[in-house]
Amino acid sequence: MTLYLRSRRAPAALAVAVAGWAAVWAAWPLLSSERDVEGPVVVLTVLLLVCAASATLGSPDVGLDRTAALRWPWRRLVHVLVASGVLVGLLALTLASGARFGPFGVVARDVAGLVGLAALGAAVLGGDRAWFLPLGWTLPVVAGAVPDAGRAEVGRVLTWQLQEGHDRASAVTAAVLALAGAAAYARLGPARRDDTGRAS
Amino acid sequence: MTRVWNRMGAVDLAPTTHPWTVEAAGLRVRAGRHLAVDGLDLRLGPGVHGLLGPNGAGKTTLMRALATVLRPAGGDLTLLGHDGRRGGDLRRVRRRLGYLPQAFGYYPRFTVREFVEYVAWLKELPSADVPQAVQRALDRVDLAPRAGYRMRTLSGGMLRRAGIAQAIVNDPDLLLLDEPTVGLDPEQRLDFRGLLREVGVDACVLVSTHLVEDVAAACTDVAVMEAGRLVWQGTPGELAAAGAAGDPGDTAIERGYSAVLRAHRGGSAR
Amino acid sequence: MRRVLVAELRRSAAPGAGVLVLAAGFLLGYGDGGAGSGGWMSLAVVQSFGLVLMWPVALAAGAWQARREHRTGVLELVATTGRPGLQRVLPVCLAMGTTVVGAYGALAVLTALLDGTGGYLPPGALVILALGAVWLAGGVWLGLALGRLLPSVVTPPALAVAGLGLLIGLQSLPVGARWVAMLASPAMPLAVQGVHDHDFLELSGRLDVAHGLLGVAVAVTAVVLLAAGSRRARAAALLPVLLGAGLAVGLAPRDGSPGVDGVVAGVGVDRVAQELVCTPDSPQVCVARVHADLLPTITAPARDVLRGLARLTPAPTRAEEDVTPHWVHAPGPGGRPDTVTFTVFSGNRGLGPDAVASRMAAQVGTGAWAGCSAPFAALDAADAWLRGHEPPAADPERPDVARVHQLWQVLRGLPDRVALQRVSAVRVAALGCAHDLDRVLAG
Repeated sequence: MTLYLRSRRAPAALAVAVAGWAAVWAAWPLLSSERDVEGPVVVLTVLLLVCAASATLGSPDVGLDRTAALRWPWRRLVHVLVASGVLVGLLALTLASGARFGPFGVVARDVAGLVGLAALGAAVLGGDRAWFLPLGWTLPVVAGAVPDAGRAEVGRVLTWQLQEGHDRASAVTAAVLALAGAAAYARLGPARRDDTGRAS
Repeated sequence: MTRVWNRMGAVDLAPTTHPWTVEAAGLRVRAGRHLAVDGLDLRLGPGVHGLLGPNGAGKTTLMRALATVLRPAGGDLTLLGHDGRRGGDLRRVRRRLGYLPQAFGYYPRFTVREFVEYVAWLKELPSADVPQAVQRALDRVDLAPRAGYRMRTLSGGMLRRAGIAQAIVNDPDLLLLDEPTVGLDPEQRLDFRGLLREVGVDACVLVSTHLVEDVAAACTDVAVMEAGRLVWQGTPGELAAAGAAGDPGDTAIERGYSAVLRAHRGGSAR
Repeated sequence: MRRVLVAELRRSAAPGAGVLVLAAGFLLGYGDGGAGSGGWMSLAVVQSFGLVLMWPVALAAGAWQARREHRTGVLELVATTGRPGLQRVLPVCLAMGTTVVGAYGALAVLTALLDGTGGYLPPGALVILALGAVWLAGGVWLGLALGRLLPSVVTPPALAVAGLGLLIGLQSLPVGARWVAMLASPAMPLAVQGVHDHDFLELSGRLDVAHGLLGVAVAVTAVVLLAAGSRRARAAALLPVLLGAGLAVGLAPRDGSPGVDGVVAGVGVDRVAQELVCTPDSPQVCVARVHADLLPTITAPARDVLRGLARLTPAPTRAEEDVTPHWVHAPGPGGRPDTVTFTVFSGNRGLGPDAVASRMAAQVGTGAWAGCSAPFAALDAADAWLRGHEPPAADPERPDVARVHQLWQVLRGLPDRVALQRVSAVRVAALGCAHDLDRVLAG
């Protein structure tokens, strides 16, 4: 188990995730008097954590992994679920503190959807580039590329990360992304991208 | 002899200013925390020198120190007449240096020609001379037909040859090759030996390898290392002569190698 | 070096970075539609808004490219070569910088072409565009430098998120600290809040210089950091940014401009844009210089309005644009009876000439005047009488519709000459900011 985690660079990813989470959590009270962290900041923090976690989706040698006798699909599924759980747990911890990342429904939805996107990214683009998808969708949305984010159905689907917790369209979108991403990653595993320049 | 290409491509033969290309005395080099080279004395002049030794003997660390990747922790090191320890003169040494590491890193997206041009530029070759020098290097390793292919499309042997090409592009006075024949097929190894002999006429070439037949065929001088020290130095013929029928090995030179190592180990155990 | 530069331009992350920056700017700029149709200043400002996404993308692209040396294991080989650090990083820096700034420039050109931007070109707009380019290049180089220091997979996305977070954070600073955002944010004009129409906007020279100084300092620091080999050299990289920041903070304007309420320091009014450009013949129609290309289309409808008001005494003989920017809360000039004023919001969000004319003509030619206007019932009644039709029976926006009708009946009851006198008097009184217009109308 520990070897698996180390092969996935989990400690480093976890360190980065925790550092980022701690930084935002500590900085928030300095910047605002509200107890609840503002929506876009929550989304950005979730994005950062998911990108850090997506570093664990790759594998140092994809070809070697494929020849192993292990039942990879289950392992990968569990990996994705555990990663999501760790992130949600980390953010849920703040609900008891002076800088609350919430509401819980929004955080859970955003983690699920973005982890799903990252898993999809790992399956299609490889572990190193898994973060392209969640970042590529969320960054323009938070920066305001979709005006009128709240009204039309299409707008709410496109900006699902920013919607309120009770919004159906965004919840459905997140669920679809989570399921599709987890399924693709479990089934296909990280894509084989041979762009190291090392010759042996 | 130092070979200098002038602008028109002719060869100027200038008298050398230093007797030995590489001169090491009591050299100590660290690899991480472990002292991999411990009190090594070595003198190399022009010619092809083979470097043999068991794994862990410190061969790669020595190569890296001679290539100025690592700075010595102690002892004296003189490369091409310059002090190998002070930082200032290393630039001039590096212009006349060629190195092929064991783990050869390259830019996969670059074409072969672009990569060799890049290394030539890094070695501060005058830009007017670069295209000619690159073409010549590619011709010498027989990669000219593949010059426009990307590095990542090359097979293992071709990649190795590309590595050799980047090492010789600046016509170095000191050429350091760490396991250069890995992945080359027998025919390519023969061509490589010919290249070594050609380069070794004016330059000092140090080849670290496990393939003893390559050493026997191409080298004018053999150095055997163990546990960070130089254990034996001489011609391949002398090495073969050092072995007797009872020593392990399938060829004469393998027997000589085993005999030399055993003598050193037996001597140090006493 | 030319060969190496060409190789880097083709084989590195430079082309991809350029495409991504272009896409990012496009996404943000076109969300609103027609960025360039409002004139050059509007184009420059909206392009700077795009930097909110372009700058983080540039950071991430730089960090991604910087991973190459680490990922491919080329460092061993490079350590045996002699080129000093600055020369070694120059091709990569130039390649990444060129494609990213080129994408930025191409976006501006594309926007100008697609939206037909033309007319008055304030030098301030070019300065804003140039400053954006400097900060963008600094962003890519900063990404390269930080990516080299921390070559992990997580660095590019972390930098992108941190960059966007920083920009959003600077945006949310309270008004007193807004000058920091004006100084330090790559998307500097974004910090100017409360301005929706950029036509008369001018940023002070001091702000431009301070902002540019800081941008250059960041860029230089990034390159020094990238080229540095030893720890001491890296520490030396802090010098340019500290120096630049110190100078910039010293130069940065902190007080608001007089007469410009609630808007951040460094913002001023472009006097040249405000200059009036008039038709040579009478009745004269004048627009601000920045809207000069709209003069041909607006002349005819404006003259129609003037004709419609010709019966009044004194009859207005010219139409003039009100050039006070909407974000300046100083009291405007008093209305002159011989002039009908109108406002022009240019660009796609602006009104067409007919809509401008109808606003101009409303309320007896005071409808578009931004002075002390109020929906006085008397003006509506007078306007209805002048046009010869009944005022609307019900209007959800006007609770005093009954009063309007009442006053209109009064006018209808008077002989034409007297009614005309009353209507003219109401107009003059409204332009003089009187409040008892009902009494004036009733006589």
